[in-house]
Amino acid sequence: MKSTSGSRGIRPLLRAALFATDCVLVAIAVAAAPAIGDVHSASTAELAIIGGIILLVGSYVQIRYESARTFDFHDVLRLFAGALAGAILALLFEQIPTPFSHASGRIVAIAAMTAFVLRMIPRIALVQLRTWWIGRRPDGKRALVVGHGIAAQSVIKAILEDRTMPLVVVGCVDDGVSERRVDGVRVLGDVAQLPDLVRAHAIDVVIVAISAAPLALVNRIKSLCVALPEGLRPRVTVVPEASDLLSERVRVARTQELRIEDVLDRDPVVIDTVGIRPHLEDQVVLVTGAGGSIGGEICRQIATFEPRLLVLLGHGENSLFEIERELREKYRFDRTRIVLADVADGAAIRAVFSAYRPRVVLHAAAHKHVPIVEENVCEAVRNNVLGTKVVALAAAASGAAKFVLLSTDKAVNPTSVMGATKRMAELICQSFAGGSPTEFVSVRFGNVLGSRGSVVPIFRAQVQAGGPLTITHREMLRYFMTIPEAVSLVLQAMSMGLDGEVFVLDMGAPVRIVDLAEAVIRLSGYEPYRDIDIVERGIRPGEKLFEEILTSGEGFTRTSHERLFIAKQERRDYAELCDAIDALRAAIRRNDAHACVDILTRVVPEYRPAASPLPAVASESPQPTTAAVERGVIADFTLTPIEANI
Amino acid sequence: MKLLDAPSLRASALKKKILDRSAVVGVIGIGYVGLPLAVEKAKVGFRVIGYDRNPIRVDQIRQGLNYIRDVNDDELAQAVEAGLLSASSDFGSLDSCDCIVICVPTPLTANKEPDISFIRSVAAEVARELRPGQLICLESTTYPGTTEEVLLAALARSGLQVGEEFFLAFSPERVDPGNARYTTKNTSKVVGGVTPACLDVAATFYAQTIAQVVPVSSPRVAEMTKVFENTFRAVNIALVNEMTLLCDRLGISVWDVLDAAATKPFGIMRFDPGPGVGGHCIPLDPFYLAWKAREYDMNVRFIELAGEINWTMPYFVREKLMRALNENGRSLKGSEIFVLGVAYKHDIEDWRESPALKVIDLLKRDGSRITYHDPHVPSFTDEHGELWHSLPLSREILERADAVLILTDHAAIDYGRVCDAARLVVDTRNATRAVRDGRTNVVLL
Repeated sequence: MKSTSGSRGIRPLLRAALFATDCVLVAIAVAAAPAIGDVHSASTAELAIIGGIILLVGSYVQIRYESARTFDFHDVLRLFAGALAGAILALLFEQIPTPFSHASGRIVAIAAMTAFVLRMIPRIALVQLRTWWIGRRPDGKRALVVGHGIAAQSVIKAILEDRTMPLVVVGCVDDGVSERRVDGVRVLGDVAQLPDLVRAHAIDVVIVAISAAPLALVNRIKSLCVALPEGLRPRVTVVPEASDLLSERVRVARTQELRIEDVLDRDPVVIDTVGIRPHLEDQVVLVTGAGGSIGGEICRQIATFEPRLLVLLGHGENSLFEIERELREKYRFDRTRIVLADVADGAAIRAVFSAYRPRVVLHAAAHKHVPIVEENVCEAVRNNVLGTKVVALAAAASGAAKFVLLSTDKAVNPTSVMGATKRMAELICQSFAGGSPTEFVSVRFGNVLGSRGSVVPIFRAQVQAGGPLTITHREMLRYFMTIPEAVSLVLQAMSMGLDGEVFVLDMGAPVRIVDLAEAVIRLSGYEPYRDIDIVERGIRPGEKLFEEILTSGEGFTRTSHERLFIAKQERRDYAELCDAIDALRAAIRRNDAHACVDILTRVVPEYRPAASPLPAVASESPQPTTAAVERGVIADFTLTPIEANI
Repeated sequence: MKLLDAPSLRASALKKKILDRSAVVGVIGIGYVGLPLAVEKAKVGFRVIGYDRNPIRVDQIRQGLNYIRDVNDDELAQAVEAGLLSASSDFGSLDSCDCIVICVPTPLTANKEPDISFIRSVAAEVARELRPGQLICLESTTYPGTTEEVLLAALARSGLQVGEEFFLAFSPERVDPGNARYTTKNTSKVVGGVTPACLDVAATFYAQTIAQVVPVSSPRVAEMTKVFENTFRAVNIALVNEMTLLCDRLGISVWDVLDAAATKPFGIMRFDPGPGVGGHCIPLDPFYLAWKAREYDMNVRFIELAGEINWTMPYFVREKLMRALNENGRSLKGSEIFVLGVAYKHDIEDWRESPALKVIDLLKRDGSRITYHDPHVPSFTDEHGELWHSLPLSREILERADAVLILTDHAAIDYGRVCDAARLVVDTRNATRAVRDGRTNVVLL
C-alpha cells in the first residue's frame, strides 16, 4: 500500500522527465534518419513534422509512464505499437500534397524505428536503477531463494516490487535443475552448498520456494541450516503450499514465517476438485459455526468453488463479519448471507432452511474446549447434541443433498463431555442414513494446528510473554493436521456419496506435545529450557494422554482417497436417540449436569466420564494398545504404550 | 327410532363428525401422497395424525418441518402449531382415528411383480385397532381387487361388518409431484366404496377438501381407473416410440410429424418419444394390471408390448449414436461421449428411475468413455456402485467430446452454446428445438 502511494507522488515528475527525454531522443532519431537512410530530400521543417507526429502518437499509445516500475515485454510491445502508429500517420501525412511532403517512406520508417529503439533505453535504465535502488536496502535481511520455478520467480518478483519488504535477494539456490539466472537473480549453487553460501553471503533468511516441495527436501534444507553455528544460522521460510494457492487469487505477496506444520512429518494433502466442484458450484451452501476457525476455513475453500450463495450461520456477529469481509476482499466473493442464529433454536433454524434451501450443509458449530465444556455440561449438550439434531432434521426436511458433521477424534472412546457429545452427534447423523434424501457424513478431525484455542496459538502467546510454556504431560501424544488440509479432506469426504459414514483422516504420525512446544520455542528463535522453560501442569479432567482415532473394536475401510478412511460402526435407531434427546432436553431445562452425563453414558457406552476434577492419571490409565494395533492399518503408525508414571 | 337401522345410524353419525370437523383423521404413510392430504385436511380444521414407520418423518412433522416440495412450509408449520397436525410411529393409537387413509407405496419386486407387502402389513395394524364407526380409505396404486381381496379380508378378521360397523373405500391418489397447477386440492378424485354406505361416507370425507369427487360403483372400478390412467400414458409413449423407430427407417423426422399432428384440435394428444421411460409410475403401474390379468388366463398384450418397446429405446439410442459416430468415421469403442442430463425428466433432481442410467451402462459396455453434466444431479451412483460426478459444461469439454448425447432436456442448459461447440450432438429429447442456426451437427432421435 505504502509503495503505491509513494510512487504516485513521484509519478508526475517522472512522467515529465521521461517525456523530455523522449523529445530529445525522437529529435536525434529524426535528425539521424536522412544520414542513415542516405536520402537527403527532406527539409528540416518536414523532418520536424515527422518527428512531432512520431513523438505525439507514440506517446499517446505509450501513455502509461507509471509502468516505469517494471519494463516488460508488454511495454516493449506498446512502445513498438506507438512507433508503428506514428510511422503510419506520418506516411499518411506524406500523401497529402503540401510544401512539406517530399520525404520518402524510408526516412519515415527509419526515423520511427530508431526512435523506438532509443526510447527503450531510458526505460530499461530506469527499471535497472530502481531494482538496484530497492535491492540495496542496506537494512534489509539478506535472503537466499531455493528453487527456480514459478514459485521462486513469483517470490523474487514480489520482493523486488514491494519496497516495504525488508529483504534483499542475494541469490538463488538451485534445487536440482541447473539454471544460471532466475528472473535476473544469479544462481549461486546447489542445495548441498547451502551452508557455504550462507556463510559467504551472510544470509539471514532461506526461502524455500518450490511448489509442493517434497518434504524430504524441505527437511534437508532445514537440517543443513540448523547445523550452522548460532549467529550464522538463518531462518528457513517455506512459501505457502499449493492448496493455499488453490483459489488462484492469492498472490505470493509475502512469504510466511516458517510454519509450525512444517515440523509435521508428512507430505501435503492433495484432493480431487473435479468431484467436489459440481456439489458446490452454483449451489446454495450453508455453513454453521462459520465464524469459527474451522467454519471460516470451510467458507474460504467453498468460496473458491463459486457457489450461488454461501450462508454463514453463527452467533458471534464479529467473527461472521470478519469472515465475510475476508471472503469479499481476499477472495472477491460476495454472494454471502450472514444469519445470526442459535443452532439449537428449532424455529430459527427452520426459518433459515425454509428461506435458503441449501443443497449442502456443513455443520461446524460446536463447543469444543474440553475443560470449558466439562464445566458447562448443559450448554455443551444443548449446542453439540440438540443443535446437531435440529440442523440435521431441518437439512433433511428441506431436501439438502449433503450434510457434513465436523466431528473430532475426541469422540473416540470419549473421556470428556465434549467427546461424548460429539460422539452422540455422530450417532444422530448416522441414524439419518437411508431415512431421508440427504446424505449424512461425519468427518473426525484430529487436533488441527491454528484452530482457535488449540495448542500452537497458546504456545506462541506464551513465547511472546516470555514463557514458560505449559504442557499437560511430557508423554502426551496428539495427532496434528493443518486446518486447510483437514477442511479439504472434509470436502472430499462430502463428494464421495457415502451415506451415514464416519470418516477418519489419516493424520500422519502422532506428535509429542513436548516436541511441539520445543519446536515452537526454537522457531521463535529461542533455546528450549535455556531461554524459555516448559513446565507440566498435569492432566485436567476429561483429558487423555493418548487420543484414538477409532473406537476400539471399530474396523475401518479404505476410500478412494488415500488419506480418508471410514470407521465401520454400528448404527443407532433414530427413535431411540430421539428419546435420549428428549431426556437431555428435560435435564437441560432443570440445569441438571449429572443427568446429562448419565444420559450420555447410556447412549455412548464407551464414554468414561472423568471421575474427579483434578489429576487422576492413575485412575484413567491409558489403554492405547488395541487402538494402536488397529491403527497399524491406516499407515505406519507406531504407538508404543507408555506407562503413566507420575 | 326403530325406523333407522344401526348401519345408517353409524354412517350418519360419522358423516356428522366429518361435517363438523370433530372426526380425527389418520393418514398412514406421510410421503408425497399422504402429507399433502394430511395438510389439506388439517387446514380445514380436522385433527390429523400422520403415521409413518420412518421416525425421521415423524420427528420432522413434530418440529413443524416440511419435507415435501408440494406442501407449503408455513401451512404445515401453522397446522402443527395449532395442534391440528401431529405424527406418530405408534400404530397402536389408530383406534383414536375416525377416518384412516392409507397412502403407503406399492413398488415392484425384482421380478416386476407388484409388491403389496406394505398394504398387507398396514392392513394387519389397522385390523388390530379397528373399532365400529371408522372409515378406512386406501389410496395406494395397486391392481384391481386389492381393496376387497387384501384389505377387506384382513379387516373382516376383526369380526366387524363392513358397511355396517366400519366403512371401506378405495380412492386412488392423483398426485403429480412438482405440478404447480394441479395439486391435491384441485385435482378431481375418484372414490369407490365397498357398499353404498361406504361410498357415501368416503365421498363426504373427500368432499371436505377436494373440489370434485367422482363416485364410482365399486373399489374395483376406482382401482382399475388408476391403473388405466397410467397404462394410457405408457402405451401412448410406446406408440410414439415405435413411430420413432419407424420414421428412422423411412428417413422421416418424427418430431415434424408430431408437431404437425398436434395441431389437430380434437382426437389427438401429444406424447413425445425419448430414451426410455422413467419415474415412479409409468414404468411400474401397468405391470400390476398385467400381473393380475395372468391370474385370469389373459395376456394384456398392449401393456406387454408397450413395456417391450419402451425398454428397447435405450438400445435404439445407442444405435443412433453409433451411426452418427460412424458418419464421422468414429466407432463407439474409444469415443468420448459427453452425456447432457441424467435426471428422468426435465428440471428435476431424481435420477434413480432414469433411463439415462441404462443408456450410459450400454455405452460403457461398448467401450466408450463417458462423462456427464446435469445441473440438477451433481453426482449419482450407478448400479455397479460406481460414483459419477457432473463435469462443468465448458466449451473445452464440449469441443473435446466425440459426441454430446442429450438424454434430459433441462431448461437451465444453453443448447445453442452446446450445438455451437460440439462436434456432434445426438438429441433424444429435441431439446435443441429452439436452436435455429448451425445445427448441421445435430442428430435427432
